[in-house]
Amino acid sequence: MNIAGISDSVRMPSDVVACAKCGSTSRVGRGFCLSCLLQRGLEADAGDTETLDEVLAEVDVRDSEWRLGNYQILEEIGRGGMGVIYRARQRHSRRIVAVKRVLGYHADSRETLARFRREAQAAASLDHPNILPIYEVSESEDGLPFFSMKFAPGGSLQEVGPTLRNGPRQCVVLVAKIARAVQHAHGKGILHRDLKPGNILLDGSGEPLVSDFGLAKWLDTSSDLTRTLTIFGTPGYIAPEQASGPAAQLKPAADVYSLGAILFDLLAGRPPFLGSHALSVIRQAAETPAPKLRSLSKIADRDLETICAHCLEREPTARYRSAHDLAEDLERWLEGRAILARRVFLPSRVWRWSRRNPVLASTFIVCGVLAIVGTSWQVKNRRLAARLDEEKLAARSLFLLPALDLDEVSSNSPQATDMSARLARACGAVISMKTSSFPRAEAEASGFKWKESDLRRITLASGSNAFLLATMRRVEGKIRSVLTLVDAGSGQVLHREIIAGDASVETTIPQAALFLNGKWNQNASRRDLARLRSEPATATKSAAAQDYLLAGDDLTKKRNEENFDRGVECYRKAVAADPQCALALASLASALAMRQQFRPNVAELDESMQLAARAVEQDSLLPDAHRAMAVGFTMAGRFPEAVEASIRAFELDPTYQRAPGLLGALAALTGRPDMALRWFEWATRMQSQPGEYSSNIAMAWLALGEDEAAEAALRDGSEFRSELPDSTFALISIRLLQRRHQEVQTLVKGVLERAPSDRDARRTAAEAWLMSGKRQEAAEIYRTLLEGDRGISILGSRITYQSALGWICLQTGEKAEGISLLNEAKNLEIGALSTAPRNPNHLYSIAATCAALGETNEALTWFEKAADAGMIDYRFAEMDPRFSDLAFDTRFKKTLTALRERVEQLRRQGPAVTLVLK
Amino acid sequence: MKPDASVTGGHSPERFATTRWSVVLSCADSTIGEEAARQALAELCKIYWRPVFAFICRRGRSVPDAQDLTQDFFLMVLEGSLLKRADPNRGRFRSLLLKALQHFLIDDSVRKHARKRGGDVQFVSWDDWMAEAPSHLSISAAGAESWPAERLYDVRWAATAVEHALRRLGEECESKGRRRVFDVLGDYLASEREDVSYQGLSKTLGVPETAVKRLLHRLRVRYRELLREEVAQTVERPEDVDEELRYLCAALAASS
Repeated sequence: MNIAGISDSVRMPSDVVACAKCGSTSRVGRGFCLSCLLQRGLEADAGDTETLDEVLAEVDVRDSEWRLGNYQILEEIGRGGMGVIYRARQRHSRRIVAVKRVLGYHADSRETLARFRREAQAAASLDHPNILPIYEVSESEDGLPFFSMKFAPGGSLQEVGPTLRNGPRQCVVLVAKIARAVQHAHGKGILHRDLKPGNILLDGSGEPLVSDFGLAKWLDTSSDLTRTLTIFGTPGYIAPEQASGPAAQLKPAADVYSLGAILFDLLAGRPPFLGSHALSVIRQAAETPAPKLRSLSKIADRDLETICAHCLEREPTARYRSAHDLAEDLERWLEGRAILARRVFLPSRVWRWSRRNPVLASTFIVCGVLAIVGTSWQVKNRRLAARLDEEKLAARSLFLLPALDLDEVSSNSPQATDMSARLARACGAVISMKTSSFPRAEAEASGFKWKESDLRRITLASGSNAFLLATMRRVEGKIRSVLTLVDAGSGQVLHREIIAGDASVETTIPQAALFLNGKWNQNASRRDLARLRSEPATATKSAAAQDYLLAGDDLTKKRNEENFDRGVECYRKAVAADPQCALALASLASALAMRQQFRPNVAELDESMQLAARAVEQDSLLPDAHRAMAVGFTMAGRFPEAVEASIRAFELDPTYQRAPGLLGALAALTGRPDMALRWFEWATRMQSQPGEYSSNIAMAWLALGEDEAAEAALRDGSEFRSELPDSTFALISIRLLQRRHQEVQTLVKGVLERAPSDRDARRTAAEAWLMSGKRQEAAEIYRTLLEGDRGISILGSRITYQSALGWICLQTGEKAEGISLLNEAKNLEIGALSTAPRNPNHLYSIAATCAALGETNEALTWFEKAADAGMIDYRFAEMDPRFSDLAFDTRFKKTLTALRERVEQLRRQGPAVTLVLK
Repeated sequence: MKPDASVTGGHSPERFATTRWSVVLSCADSTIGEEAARQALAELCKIYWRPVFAFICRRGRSVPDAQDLTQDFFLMVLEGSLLKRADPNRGRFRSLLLKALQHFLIDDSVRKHARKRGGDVQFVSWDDWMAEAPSHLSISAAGAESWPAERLYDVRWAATAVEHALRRLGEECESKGRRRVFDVLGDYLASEREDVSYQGLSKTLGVPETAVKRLLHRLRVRYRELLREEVAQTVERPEDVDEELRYLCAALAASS
């Protein structure tokens, strides 16, 4: 893009203010008169001897803020009602960033700060080439939040917009990219709410970067009009409904309106509505149709006018359905095809066809990385290779990530470090390309985790265009390695090699090197490259399927029954819309299996397994498909198969967040809390929302007898996900084990007050009452629970309702009812073994029920079987009142002692990580 | 760029150094100190790449093309071709660079030569450089559309010198832990005394009015020194500074 033929940030305001002193209109920096500043140089020498340093040293104006967290503040580059923006330097990486902070006097309550933090975290999770990346959300020493992001040196659209006015194509290309970025955020449930030229920044090559997603209301750094109003957004660009309705009800259509207003502004040189004050602009937008674009723009054609008008409809539902649809229509215009906003007549379509510009269209679609990689692979010999410039070298260079030892869940195990070193040597020796290895210390310092976006960023920052990930594990005594080559620009997997069977570590490396050598050196043309990047099968061509998938993801994340049911319906519709789509099949399969937790249903579990198998058949390389298999196996109690399927999912994509979470849960379930912690550590590194796994982590620490670590994990988690009840449930478990019954009571009452009808909450409450000796209260809840559900939880609860109530009945003298309930429980529990014979929870519950029935020998045998299958939580058994008659039984005590020793041993070995969160 | 106070012992090393352009010129016809000359020239190029880039863009090149050409041009300059053509007797870095640039853009063979000599090496990483020393120049829209490339070059040049001096002034304050003084008082470097509300500034900074007056005076004096140092780097003799400043002022006035 030609930025006025000058360079980065050159502003050409339409309302130039001439300097009162010299009349010049040229300004630098924060608006200083260039001419006056130049004249200063010609003034006479003051001739005195005092120096600036001396005067500075004398006055007491300290820079309290020139460091903010990890950042050295270089200069203030913007200030507004609620925030300040600085140019800053990150201390370790030395990179230049922009840092924004909320000013103290507006951040008036802890709640406000927490909300800001949550929203900034959400915005930080967005990963799109045209969204300004947020690097870190943090707090300064005085407790005020700030966040750091990419420094965009090219200024904003507000400044360079005027220079684009002679080229409608440039404007349309820009807005199409912006619309794609906005769609990406909408897909993650984040609205921008204040799209305007000032929020579209430009990088050094003029690529647009949308900034301040969902944060506009916190920052409001530019508009002096809005500050006096209670609405957020900038008049002239915000949708009319934004000014009139509550912010919570805003829809993506509001952002579509703003995109239209930006396009209008770029093409016409002014937003659709102007007025002497903000209210008049807002009123016009709400009451009158937008002016015809061509009445104000000389360069726009009829189609662009139609597109703008379609965005600027006053009725939200009359606009483009999504930013995606707008982007598509803009791209259609660019390619000279008919737009969808309104059909055009045939002759003009033919004319447009002739005018179609394939070169531009293709450069628009093919991203830069692809082009660079493609050309560099044509290089065949050393002489030519020597002439590669930096960029081309980057295309051939490879970023090696540390190998992951999946048996140890670690990149630090001797095997993994050995593999990493060999891989580096082999790549360096066999392939004439630059390899850079993982700067571990540096990465940790800069908050690097293991998200795909992190991996891509660190790769690009190292000057490479692709990264290589290797995983390894032992399968039947042999090493199985999977090498995955990922294009850091697009995140797409370029190639994947599974090296298994007879290959030992010794032969694996040469094979890997040969593979790389072959792929990188022999492929001569871009067509080969295209073949290498096969179309991902996850992509569905059906827009409806895509929408249903997104909606389903969103609903099932909320983890309550009602939303889960709606999510399942969405996935069903996605499968109906595109029955070949492996991702849709896998998503439906997983959701159906997960729903077993709410409502066990054998037929549905079968359906889930079949769907998962079909997903694997459609795309055996799709991690989601293997995860769906894993969830099905888990729910069916087939744990070893579940572990295998989850590991496979993780192998195929070591950045796939959902696999380690499941692996952690499986490890916890089968008596390996130490391994569970390692997997949850990985899951935490990749989580999209902080705090997602903190209650799982807490429970794993608890199983290891590390109560303090468990509480620490919960504290960290509740900071982010206070809305999830899991952490309170976990805290209740901790307090129960500590026998702090007073606190248990308070917590339980709180849970019941918050969600009196939630089944999980009531079950937790009943168990807590039972464990803390409040039989009466426990019995009441169990009775109501039994009214709705006489079945057994598919994953197995250690306390079935019938068993608990039966035991209470026996204690309170209702013998007949008690025995009948306990027998019902025992039948149910033994029945559950038919599908999951080694589920430790089922085995434990049978033991406890038998103990309650007074069948001591049987109880002891089942208890030993439970311990053998991985039930490790001896403290729970010690506390379970149903075992109270066995408390002095030597055989029971022996098993408990063995379990205690086992836990002790696991704790001594120690999980690889000592502090899981931070 | 910020001079690292701990390395340079707190004073600006450039203040006492020979001006860069004179180093370059004195070495033009000898091999002694060639490395020093090359370094001095490289420093100058790093500061003054924006006017060159602006000129090339103004001549109708796309941004990526202009970036490439700017890189190639500086490579040629650093290779020494510019020096060989330079007449050491009438030396302004600014004007010689412009002449060389015009020549470079017209003459295909020079360009090819540059590419052959190492045009595939990146001299400037654009984003890094822009981030390191961002520039904000604002000119009238009419000016942006109508000025000839030469005038744009001069205005950009003037802005670069001024911005560099301002940046160094800010950094000097920062190295003393007084960045805020610059942030607050920087706005008034160009104002006349009567335009300044010392009372308001005294409140903002929390120091007495007399201190504000002293600070502002000292900042202005230091700024003047720094600007003159900046310009001195691009001329051969110290006495040429005034003339160069007057030239730049005139270029700006003509364009307003």
